[in-house]
Amino acid sequence: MEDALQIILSVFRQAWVAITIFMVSVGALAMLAHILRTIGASTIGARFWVYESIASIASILVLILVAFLGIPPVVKAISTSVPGSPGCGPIAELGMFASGLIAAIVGLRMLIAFARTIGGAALGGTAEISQALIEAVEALFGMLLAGVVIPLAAMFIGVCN
Amino acid sequence: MFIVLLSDVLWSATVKSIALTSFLFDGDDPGGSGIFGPIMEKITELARDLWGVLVGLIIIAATLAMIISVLRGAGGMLIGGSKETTVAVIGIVGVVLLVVIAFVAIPQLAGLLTSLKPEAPF
Repeated sequence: MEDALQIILSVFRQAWVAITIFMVSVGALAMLAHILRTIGASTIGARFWVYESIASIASILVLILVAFLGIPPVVKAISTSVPGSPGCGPIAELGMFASGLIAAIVGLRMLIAFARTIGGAALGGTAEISQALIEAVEALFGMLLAGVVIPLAAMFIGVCN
Repeated sequence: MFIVLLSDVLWSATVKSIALTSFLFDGDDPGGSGIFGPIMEKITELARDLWGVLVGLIIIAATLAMIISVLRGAGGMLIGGSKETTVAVIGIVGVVLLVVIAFVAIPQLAGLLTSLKPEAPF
């Protein structure tokens, strides 16, 4: 079970690297596009477009920094917050397997939520940064359910006897 | 003459900035050697093309903006509008500043963000 978990996690790690590279590429292109918009706006004297463009550049930069510096500690904290799985046999193993998997998935989902937000900031759309925090809380509940509650329920039912 | 000189300067700055920022979209192994490698290769190829298009558009827009500002400044000088001339000169300086930000600061920022790219926390 541990080997299977490591194989799946390695695929998720590759996805993590791909998404981070994608975020940097999109951010750089978005900043360049906003500079183009600023030049056009300053030429025709549209000062509000200039303000918007500069604010968008700053927000893209801050979003990428928050994503890169903020998500890994959150995911690590979630991973370490769930105690060791009680229960016995395959139920306990499956619980730990599911916990590890959910922690990895929440990391990717938070990163994707930030990528969507950066896309929104690049195109002038709405921000969905709160979605990333919702993902984290959902994952914590899912990990508690899979790693603790289900094995405890199995013990209560009497599977471990 | 002035505009031609500025265009040449902008063009050489563009070539240098693309050469400096080529590491951002390095196609050798952009997405790692995993299963997402081919997909990321395609995405970075598109991003590289888009980067070139945006740089070209910025050069065109900056050149036009400077021509407009020079025209505005010349008109201001003809009619004695010192404020118009001042605004035009400031406009030229602003465009040059924006182009410098686009070609120098953004690649540096992107390099910084690339170096901050975190390892997977799981």
